[in-house]
Amino acid sequence: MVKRKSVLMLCLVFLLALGLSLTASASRVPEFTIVTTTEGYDPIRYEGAFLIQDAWEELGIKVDVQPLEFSTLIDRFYNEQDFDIAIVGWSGRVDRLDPQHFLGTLHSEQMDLGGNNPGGYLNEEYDELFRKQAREFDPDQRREYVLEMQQIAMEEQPLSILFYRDEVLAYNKNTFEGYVPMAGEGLYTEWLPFDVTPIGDSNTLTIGTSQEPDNINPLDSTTVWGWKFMRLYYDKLVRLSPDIEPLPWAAESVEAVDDVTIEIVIRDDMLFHDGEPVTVEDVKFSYDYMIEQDFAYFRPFYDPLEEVIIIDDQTLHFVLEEPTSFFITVTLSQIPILPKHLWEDIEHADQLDPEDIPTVGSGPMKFDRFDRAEYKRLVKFEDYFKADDIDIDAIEYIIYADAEGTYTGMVTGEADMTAWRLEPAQITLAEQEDHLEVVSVPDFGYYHMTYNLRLPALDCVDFRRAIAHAIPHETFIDVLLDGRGERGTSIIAPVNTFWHNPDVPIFEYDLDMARQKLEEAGYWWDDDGRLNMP
Amino acid sequence: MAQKSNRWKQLQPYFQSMKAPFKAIWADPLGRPGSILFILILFVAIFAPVLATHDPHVMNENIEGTAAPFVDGEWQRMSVIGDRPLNSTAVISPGESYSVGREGIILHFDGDEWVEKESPVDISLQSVDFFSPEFGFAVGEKGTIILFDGQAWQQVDSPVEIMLKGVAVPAEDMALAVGEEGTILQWDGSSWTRLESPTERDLNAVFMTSPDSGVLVGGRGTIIHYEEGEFVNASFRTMLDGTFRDLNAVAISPEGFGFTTGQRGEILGFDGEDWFNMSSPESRELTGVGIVDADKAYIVGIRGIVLEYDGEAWSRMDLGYRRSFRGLDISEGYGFGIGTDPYINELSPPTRDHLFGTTHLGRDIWSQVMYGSRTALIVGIVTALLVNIIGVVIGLVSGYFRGRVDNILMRIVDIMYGLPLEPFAIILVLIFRPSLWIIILAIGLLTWRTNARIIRSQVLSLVERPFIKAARVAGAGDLRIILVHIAPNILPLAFLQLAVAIGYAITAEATLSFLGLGPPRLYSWGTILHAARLSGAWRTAWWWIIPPGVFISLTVVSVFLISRSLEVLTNPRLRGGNTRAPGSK
Amino acid sequence: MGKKEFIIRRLLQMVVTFLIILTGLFFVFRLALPDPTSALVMEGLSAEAQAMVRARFGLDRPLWQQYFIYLGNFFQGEFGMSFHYRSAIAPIVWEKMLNTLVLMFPAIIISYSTGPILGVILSWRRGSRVEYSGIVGGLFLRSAPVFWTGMIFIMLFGITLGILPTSGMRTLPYEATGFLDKVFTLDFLWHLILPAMTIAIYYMALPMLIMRNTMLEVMGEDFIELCQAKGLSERVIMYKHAARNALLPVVTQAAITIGLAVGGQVVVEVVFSWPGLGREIIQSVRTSDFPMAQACFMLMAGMVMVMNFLADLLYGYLDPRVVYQKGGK
Repeated sequence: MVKRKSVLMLCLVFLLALGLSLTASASRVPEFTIVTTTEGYDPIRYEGAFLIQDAWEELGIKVDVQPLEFSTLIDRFYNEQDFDIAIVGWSGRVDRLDPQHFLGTLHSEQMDLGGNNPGGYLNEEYDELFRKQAREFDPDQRREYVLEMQQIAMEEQPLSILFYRDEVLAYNKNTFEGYVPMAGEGLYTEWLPFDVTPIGDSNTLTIGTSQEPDNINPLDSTTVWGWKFMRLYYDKLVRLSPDIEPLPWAAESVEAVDDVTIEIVIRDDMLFHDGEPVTVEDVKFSYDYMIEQDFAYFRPFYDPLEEVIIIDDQTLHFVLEEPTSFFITVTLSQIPILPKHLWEDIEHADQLDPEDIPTVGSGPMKFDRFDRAEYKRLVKFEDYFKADDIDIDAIEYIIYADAEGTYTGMVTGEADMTAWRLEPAQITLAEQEDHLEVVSVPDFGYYHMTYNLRLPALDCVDFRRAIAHAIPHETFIDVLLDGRGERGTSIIAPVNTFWHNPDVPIFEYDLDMARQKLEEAGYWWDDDGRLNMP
Repeated sequence: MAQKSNRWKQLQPYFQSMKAPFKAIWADPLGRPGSILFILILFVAIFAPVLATHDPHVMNENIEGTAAPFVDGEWQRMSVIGDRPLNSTAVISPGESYSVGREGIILHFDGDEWVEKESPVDISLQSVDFFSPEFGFAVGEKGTIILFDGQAWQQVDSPVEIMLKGVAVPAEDMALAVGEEGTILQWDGSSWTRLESPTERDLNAVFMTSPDSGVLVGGRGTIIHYEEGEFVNASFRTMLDGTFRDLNAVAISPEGFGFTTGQRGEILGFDGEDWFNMSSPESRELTGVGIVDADKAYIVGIRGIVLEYDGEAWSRMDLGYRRSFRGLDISEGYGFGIGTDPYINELSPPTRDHLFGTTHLGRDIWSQVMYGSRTALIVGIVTALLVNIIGVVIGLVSGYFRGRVDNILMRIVDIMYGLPLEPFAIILVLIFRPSLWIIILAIGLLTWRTNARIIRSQVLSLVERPFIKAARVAGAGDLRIILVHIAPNILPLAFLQLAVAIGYAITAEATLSFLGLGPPRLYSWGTILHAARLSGAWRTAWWWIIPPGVFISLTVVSVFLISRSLEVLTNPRLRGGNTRAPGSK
Repeated sequence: MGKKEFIIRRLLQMVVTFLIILTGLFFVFRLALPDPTSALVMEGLSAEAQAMVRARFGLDRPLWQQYFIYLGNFFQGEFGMSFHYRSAIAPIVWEKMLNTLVLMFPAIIISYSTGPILGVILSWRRGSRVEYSGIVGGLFLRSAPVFWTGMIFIMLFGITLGILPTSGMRTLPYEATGFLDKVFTLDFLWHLILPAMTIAIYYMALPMLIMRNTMLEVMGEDFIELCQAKGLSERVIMYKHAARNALLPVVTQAAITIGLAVGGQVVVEVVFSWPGLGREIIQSVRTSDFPMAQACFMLMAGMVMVMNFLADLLYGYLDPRVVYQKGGK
């Protein structure tokens, strides 16, 4: 009898203790898992996650770091929204200069699975301003809206912009000159054929890279590398100058006839690489075909387009569904002009076999060959309307296994320039090479740490504003990036001088300040030093 | 009592057969050094936390004060002049300078060398300026102001407790100090008072051309002119002009032109009337500016950046400096650039402090290698044990029972033989998270096949021996036969296999870690080499590459030597002098 | 059991093993992984585009259907579409396999020809210091991980001395009409030296030591005495008769080695940026290109199995006492 009673007592005590400990832990700020890239993919983001972990653990917040393969990371972040906190980056491509894209990443419409706002930020004032700026044609007025949006969003810290990373690239200064680096594009811009002049023995510009296009189908490629390659042999109505001004290009003139109609007069001296002339039919076809094939990658660009009407031999009218501020700078500068006579019979463009993909364009270079994982080549199109401005005969790409191989190619002189950035260790080495010139180009993109705002503690603005003081921004720049970058502030990068808001709140790294703010918000620490909810 | 001694007796054969291998190892001319080596490595693994000199994960910093002299128009070699980072320097005359820095350090250059002077404070000093060799001020954190009167430094009263970042002393009765939150203080000859400031932004530096005229610069592109007691805010910032970057330093020449510089390589010029943007060859932070004359000026920055102005434009100088500059002062063509912030000791070759040097992030390689021994031995031994146990059991069962069981098991072994190790481990990692268990699992799953085969063939031959048959006839059960008669006889072989397996497992773990399949933040010799390769520094950082590989080789060699000496046991003909070979009677 | 039956049986075994592995791989992948379409996403592809991809790769069909489609395709040499390359896997992977083989074979041939010769020399110099240092040296070579020696060689010959190329199979760009055209050049040989040397050195030790061991064993056997009685010189005895018998374990070892070498190629190809199957499978993991990873894995497993099979045949030919030959020697 005695035995049984004491056993019972023990059980009760045990249950009580269990219950107490559970409730105790129930009030604790939950443990967060930060998902980031693997060390091999991006050592900066990888190390950065651990630096943040160290800082937050000092505040009594338990953090676990989980490196994931890049595509798994993207999948969990965008498609499944299965994350607590994620460190991801946006690359700054020229078409993202217009603030439309990055501002859209915090819009409530993008909250669904697969959208660009997986954190789930919802602010009606922000959404309203977004709608306004999309319709505003007056740049100064539009800018006011854009600045205000940045102010609102950054005050609430739905994500922390960690840093903007400079693209550091190298080129051989003994073989070609005239490179014009563009922010967000580096040296590998679409102006390359027009900029560089040979000063060495070879007239063929050799680009070293370890990245290659996923494919060369203009209705299927979804990668930066595919499009950087294709835009050299396809032409567009408008081109963005190195100062990001839209220059009429295949179009002789571009004029807004009214709020929703843009009149385009195309040049009359353009030919496709197979000798056929470029006509308004081809231009209309290119846009119609994109829409008909429903090429998702460009959908945000052609969505606002209602119809394309041919007025005469040289003139077209683009009719928009509603006034769209970015149509000229973005859409007209990105959609390639396709030869109607080669594409019109292809019913399902995205299902073409690689050998069947037409490679005829009307751009300054002509497609020559693409040997997967090894080599690509473009040659000068002699009948291009601006062929006189092109001093090189060809552009070839040597595809190396990795950044290591690419760098070796630069050192040995096999490659004239790199398409992708150098690793930090290579930068120092490159600077010591006599024949190499190193350039640092700021980026429009940014690296950010996004919170899943649906989770406890992360859904609290005060919490986020407090822990923002526990992110060692300067260390990322000084140590990880070797000084080649800038501390993150707003979703519109500082190099985008027109649209960037330099006055957004900055949260200095100060753990005492973080603790103070947490206390003010009602958070408290228990005996184990762990942070607890108010 | 009888029970106990019986059990002891049952275990006897095991002990007997265990003794022999150890004896053999020690006796063998190769086995002995092998086992000594192995024990050494074991020692390293056990005492790794003691042997390691640093935390293997910490990015080590060097905290030193450095100075690079600018003399006769030339930049000279940078040298270490103190053990604390320096923030500011002031040239009193060619051949005499002062520098101040962290924890109140004050250094004086007398023309030959830098000597530390006694300081009245131990708070970080941010800026120093002199009017004459007998009069100067230094300011710093928490509103600290100290005065040099020709003899010594003393602290004077300060009206604020805010961080002061700049000071300029154009006269004995006039000086300005600036600091955070727009703080401006004025010295009137006897005390400091706070002035009303036209801005709330942090002010980082002040330069005065005369007691009546000067320029203040600060955060977010703030530029303020001081003219005869009046402050005029000259900050300009339009979308495309001016700057919103923090400005760190400013210098104005007696002729009235000047420069200011700061974050992101920002450089602005002053022509006497207006400020204008200048093209900068740098995009990293710049921290100091000094003017020689209208055709020559210098800007210094982090990471040893030095820019030169030739009257038209700024260009980068390649002087080979690696340490960051925090300040610059040039007067009459003579000056110093000083620094440095805690400097991450990256890619350092072996030094006394870091026996194997450091990685590209300043982590101590010696400590990493010490801890790496643990992973190697743990994975090696655990995996080998796992492999051995599975292999022995399956080999025993297969060899003894034969028939169906044997067939099935050998079929499974055949299937396993078709799987290459590294690709298999890669696939596992693709599916699951990289972790130590995956590596152990992968190696373990694929290595028992050889083990099983070898044990099996041994068991097969044993089973035919007469004493087994005798035992059967005597009525002994299968289990008893296996445990009592067969097992002890294959123990030497199993032991040999264990040794071989350990060697193999260590190499396999290093290989898989090198491929990046190991868990993050785990230090193993393979991951160290993986990091070396990834950083791109492996071409030249021989100190990073050689030690881990040497350790792997030594460990595996020691195990191989041990296993070779065991081979002698199982194959006596290999012992010296027992065979008749031509030429050796 | 006759020779023919043995061969057929082993062949069947091989095929069955292959099928089992293939099936296991397929199901493990499909059941354990997140949505494979994520491999096609580069920063924010819309949900509609993903649905399109899913349909195209047949990922919306029930699992068992996908399995049979895959199985059928595989044995027709159709390995599906690479997620990363967006083109057929088969041509890519055949070429990679040739690249792997063209590195592996020369290296193994070198190590299995020099190794045994050295082993014989060692056995001859029984008890001398040469033997001792030979054994220790061999063990060291075998202990140093092959990727490490590779890196050291690159550092030494490629960077410091600068005499050998440090990566790849050929100096790009090059014109080649086919595999043979690509390979029968001096440039290729030049690129082959370092990686082949690295592998050869690593694998040389074991055959050397085994050869020595078995030479010593065989030397004591009776039939050597017989040969001596015939009056032949010692050297002839040694090389002809003893060696032939001693070769057997070396061949066994070779068989085992080849099985390991296929997997070990992975690190070597990574270190030397050699465009073979090993490097490809690592890259396919990085990009989560599951079909490619599977194809590479199956090809590598296939290579191992074929090598094992051939080794078994060779073993049987060399050893008159092996099971399948009736009537002994």
